[in-house]
Amino acid sequence: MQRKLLHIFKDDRKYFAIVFFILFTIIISAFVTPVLMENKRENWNKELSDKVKGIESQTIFLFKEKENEILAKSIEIKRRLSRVLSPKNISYGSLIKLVSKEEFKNYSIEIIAPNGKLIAWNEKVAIPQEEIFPLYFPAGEAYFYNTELLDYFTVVDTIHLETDLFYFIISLPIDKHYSLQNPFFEEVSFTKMLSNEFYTQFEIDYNPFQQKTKDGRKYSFEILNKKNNKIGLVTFVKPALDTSVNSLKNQAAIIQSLLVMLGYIFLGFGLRKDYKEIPYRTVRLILFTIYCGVFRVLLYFVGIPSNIIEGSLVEPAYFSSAFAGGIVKSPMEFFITNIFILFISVQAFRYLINYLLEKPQTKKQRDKLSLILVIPLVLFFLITLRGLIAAIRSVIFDSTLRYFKEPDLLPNIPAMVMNLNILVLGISIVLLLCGYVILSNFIIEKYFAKRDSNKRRQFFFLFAGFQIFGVLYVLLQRQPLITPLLNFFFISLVFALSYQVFFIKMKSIYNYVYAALAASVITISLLNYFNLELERESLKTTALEINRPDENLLRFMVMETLSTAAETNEIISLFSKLNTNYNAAAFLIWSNSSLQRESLNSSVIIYDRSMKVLGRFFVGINAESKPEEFFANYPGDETELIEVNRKEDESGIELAGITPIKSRNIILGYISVSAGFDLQNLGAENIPDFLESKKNIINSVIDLRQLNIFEIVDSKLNRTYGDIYPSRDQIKPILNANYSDDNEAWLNLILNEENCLVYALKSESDGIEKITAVSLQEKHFSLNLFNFFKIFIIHIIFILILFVSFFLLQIKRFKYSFRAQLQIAFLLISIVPVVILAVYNRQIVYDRTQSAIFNELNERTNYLVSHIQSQINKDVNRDLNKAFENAGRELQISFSVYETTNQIFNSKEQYYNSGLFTSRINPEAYYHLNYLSYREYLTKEEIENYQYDSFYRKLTIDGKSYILGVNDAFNKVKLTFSTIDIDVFLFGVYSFAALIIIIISTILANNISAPIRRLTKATGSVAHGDFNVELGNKERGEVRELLDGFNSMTKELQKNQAELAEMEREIAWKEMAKQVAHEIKNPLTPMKLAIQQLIFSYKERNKNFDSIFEKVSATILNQIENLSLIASEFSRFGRMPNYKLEELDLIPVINDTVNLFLDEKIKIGIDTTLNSALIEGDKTHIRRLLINLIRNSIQADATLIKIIINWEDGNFSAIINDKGKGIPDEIKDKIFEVNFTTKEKGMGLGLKLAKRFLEGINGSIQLVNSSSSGTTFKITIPMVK
Amino acid sequence: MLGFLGGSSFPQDSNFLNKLDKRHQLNTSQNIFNEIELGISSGNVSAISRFFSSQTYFSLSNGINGYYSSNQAYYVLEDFFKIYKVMLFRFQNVQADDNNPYATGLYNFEFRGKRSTAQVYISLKKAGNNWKITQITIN
Repeated sequence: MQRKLLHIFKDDRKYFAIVFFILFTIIISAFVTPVLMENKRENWNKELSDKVKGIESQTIFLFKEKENEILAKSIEIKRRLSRVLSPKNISYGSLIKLVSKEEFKNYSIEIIAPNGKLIAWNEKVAIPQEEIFPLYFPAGEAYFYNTELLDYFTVVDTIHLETDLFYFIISLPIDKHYSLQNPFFEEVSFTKMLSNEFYTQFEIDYNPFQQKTKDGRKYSFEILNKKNNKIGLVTFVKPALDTSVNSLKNQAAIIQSLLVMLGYIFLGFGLRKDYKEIPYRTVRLILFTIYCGVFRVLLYFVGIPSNIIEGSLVEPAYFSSAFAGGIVKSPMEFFITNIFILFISVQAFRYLINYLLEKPQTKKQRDKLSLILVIPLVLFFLITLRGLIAAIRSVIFDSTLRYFKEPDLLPNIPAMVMNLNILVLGISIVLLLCGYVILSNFIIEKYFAKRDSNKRRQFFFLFAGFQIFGVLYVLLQRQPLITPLLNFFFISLVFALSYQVFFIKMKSIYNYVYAALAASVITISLLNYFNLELERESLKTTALEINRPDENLLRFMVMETLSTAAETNEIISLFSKLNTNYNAAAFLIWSNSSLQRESLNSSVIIYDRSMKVLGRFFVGINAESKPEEFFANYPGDETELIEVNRKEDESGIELAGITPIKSRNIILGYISVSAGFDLQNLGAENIPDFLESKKNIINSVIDLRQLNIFEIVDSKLNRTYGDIYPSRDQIKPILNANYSDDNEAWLNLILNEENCLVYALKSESDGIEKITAVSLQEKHFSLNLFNFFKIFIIHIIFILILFVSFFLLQIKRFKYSFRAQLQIAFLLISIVPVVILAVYNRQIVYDRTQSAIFNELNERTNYLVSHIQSQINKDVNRDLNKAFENAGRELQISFSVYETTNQIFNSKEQYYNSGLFTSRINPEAYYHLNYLSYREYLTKEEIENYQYDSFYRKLTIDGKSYILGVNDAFNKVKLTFSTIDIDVFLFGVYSFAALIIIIISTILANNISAPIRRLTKATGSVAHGDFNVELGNKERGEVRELLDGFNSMTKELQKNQAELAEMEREIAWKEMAKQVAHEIKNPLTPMKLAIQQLIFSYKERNKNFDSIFEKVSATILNQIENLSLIASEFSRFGRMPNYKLEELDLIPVINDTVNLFLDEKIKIGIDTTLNSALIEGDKTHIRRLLINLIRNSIQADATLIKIIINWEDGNFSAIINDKGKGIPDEIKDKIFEVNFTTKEKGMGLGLKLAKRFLEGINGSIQLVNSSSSGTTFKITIPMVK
Repeated sequence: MLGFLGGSSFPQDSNFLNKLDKRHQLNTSQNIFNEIELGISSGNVSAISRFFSSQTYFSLSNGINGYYSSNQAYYVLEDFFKIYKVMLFRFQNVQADDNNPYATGLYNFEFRGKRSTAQVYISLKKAGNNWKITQITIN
């Protein structure tokens, strides 16, 4: 039984056993899971208790980790400070350097002198100086320090130095209360981290006074520091039974899904042998495609990878398409689908190449039916190409990724994966397209094979045919996706690749690298093309966006913000705290609301219960407009909403609302919110970049500053955005345009002498017709090389990885040949200077950029200084703050003024008041200006990962020293290209240049080394006895002389060999004749003597004549016998050649012989399923006979030879088939005869010797068939015993 | 007489037709809101997806903010419903007027074991003969 089972499950069949086991496991799990779920329900109380304890202990562990981290940093600082602050070493410079170190970047560090003054700090200042003392907690203990915006994990410690006592404070942000939806915002939330870790809601009170919750659904526990003092309270929602049961169900489903996948994979392994035994490649390909297709669908239905991985790769927001029921519904799903498509197309391509290499023989050469097949192939080609184009279009339009506007040199992970997706899909499709072309070419070649036609010319006609069909296909479409010109370009690229494969090297692994390059160029061109379309479409999105925020939406957002604020405990509790920073609280409310998400002009104001303003935050709203005055007559008990009365010259909408903040029905205060939208709001130009939302609209596709927008109300121009103010005549076409059912129209207008594309959208509000027209100059559409290189860099990285992988796979076959040496030399000579140039250029551009920033900020500072000075000169008693205010307002420059280290004025007061910016001067700037006596200092600063430049200069007013700080956080210095743009451009251009250099150097190295390689091969052939080698010579110079010399040498050698052979034959014959004469003489002498004796006896009538006669007869017979023996010996000698027989493997001998012809114009393919073919033979003779046969084929104009090695009945056979012109019938019988030859210079011994040798080792050679389409020889050699 | 009657009835008829048409429009946008309400309350994206326009604006609690194509809109909303599982949803205020119909409501959901609510705002716009969703806000 066991043996039977083993027999059933032998070889690949063993995988079926695994499949059965997996199926069995799945069935069992289907029964086990409900049991486990029921078990969970029954034991839930205990399990809940364990879970809660587990969460508590793990949370405490995480807190301890954080505490240890900050305590370790504190100890480190203490140690270093002790050195720096020691009386011998003390230096302010060292102190600043220490606190500004990169390792302390995430911490806030403050150093307090013995006199209680803050003497050093880094860029983040957590605790204001006035709040440090008295200490909240004993020195050396970790605790939580709270602000409205942030909670910190803080340690205050001391350093005793002789009689001095220094304090230092190190704080680590642990929880941010505000959030901003933009790429700069750095999420810091221990609460969220715990929520994600334990999959339940957490709330953390970072103060020691909070009591535990009494809500039975939640659990609270205290956070204790190392000294066991309570510093906070953690509360979390207890895991619910339903959630836990569902989680178990989901886990079981995931395990079952994985098992199904595994089972399917092992099923494939089990059927592998059967698959390989299918003789027809077409059938194999179909089965392979079905297997892959089913696999992909299974993966989708079981939810792999969507249900297993989380994050941006499975977010449909980055990319999703409804194509094929959702198998491309996220970047990761798209990637998985692409991999399967790649498998199928690579397999199809491989099968096609193998089929072509083993072109079957058919008697019918001119098959008209097969020629008709070319037409559907052309159609499939065009449809497949259109499929790729549609896919790339979807990549642009169904994605929020802006491939040409990424801010970084290397894009983020979703963009990187999408770039890879585009490339992989491109490679798959290009291989298929190449396959269609090659197949078409093969069919045509077969049809015209009989005629002596130029194959390359046929290929060109095929190319022309495809192009004509391509143009027709595009023109006949109702909605062509691309232009005929682009279509032409893509078809040309595919044909170039096909040429390389079909005519240069069919079976080279590097064809896939060339396919990748072609795919990259095609897909990036398409991306660029459709991005243009998207830019056009963005005019429509802009118009939609302008019309979107109507009064209803604003009303909703204001009410939503008010109701959320009124219900948030955090906000309510602020009213009962002392020293609340209400400006920060207002910012908190604003940042967490839809006002920030929508980047609207808005304000949040907090009042006390007598309507006195406590704090405010506003963006895009003029501070002088005083939004608090909207509610001067507010009755005070209910939520109220009003429409703000705009001035006559302003349009747009603004709403304001107010609500009381109550706790236990007692009014603690009020919050008012106002929000407005007008045309100037577009692109949130009034809002600083670091606060602006990352909303995915127009400004992510096109630069808003390039748009011109016109708002036409009741046929009159109402408002504009941009620098064009159209005349009445210019807006007439917009009014009279042909609007579609969707109330939209596209026009081309000439505005300011520039061609502009205009999108117009009609809408109606309160019976009044409004038209929003968005226009963009044609020249601002961004089809350019710059964009091309941005994506090309990414593709090149992937292609290089592919190339290096292939190279490493082939490294064993790599020879440090002359060609390789040339190539490396060319690359070194060209690429090294290119790289040096790129690095140098980059540095220059970077320096120039820094210089431009310095100049701009310097200029702004100059304006400010002269404005302030002129004010003071006009009025000596002018209040300084007033002077600063005037300067800031009139010059629209953001700046701060410091007296020593403290800020005394800021033009963007509210951002500092809210706690977003620190009011301490930059410590590096202070050090350089104050201690190193610099006049000015430029530095980079950061808020929420948003980098900006700050310029500081000393200022003296009325004999007093101040420091003026000008930054571009609010109005960025405009550069033509950012450093990132330059990096991308330089990297892209130079990598493209490097690619061109690699291609050219490869071509040059090939061309230069080609004659040397041919010479090497020819020398090898000569060494193996083939003197018929003659090298074609189109070279010039020394190489020509070398090749000529070689040809002469081989001719001479051939002649000498013939003469030598003749001489040797003569000598051999002479020697043999001498030997024969000598041998024959020996028996002849006694024979002569015996006859003479007989004659004498006869004449003498000797009485013993009879006995003498007998004796003489015997002697003569004996000697005749000797002569006969001598003759036999010589005859046998003449038959037997000198062979060196040994056990050898036929396959490598044939391979080595074939390699001698690599540089000749003949393709030789070897086909065998055998791993080895051991025979007993003479390697030299076997090689010689193969060379003979191959040379004969070349002489018969064959360009393709196939050698099939098989084993049958104890013998190895080698069938050599060529596609030459064949052997004429009349000489077929003579080819094995001695001295028969059709060559001018032939000895006529080749085939004869070959036959003799083979028969000598019990083998044979026979001419199987020969005709005008080729000749087949069969060699049979017995296998070694 | 007949002419007078015909003449006087014609404007009435056209008024009547206008009112019918307006009522029809109102009914249609009201019906759309009913279907959307049903779709959201059952977490069924397919019931809502046919009302997506080629560019629909989404502002959702999970950070989705901006315009999405109809292809993307389907999966964006599907993803949202998976994470923020609906417990109960109802429109509290429906303004099915001619030009800018909109509706607001309360979305009760469960997220990581905790129940919470979010404000919903949905607006429609006429595109040809059909009403399409221009904006969905769930905050």
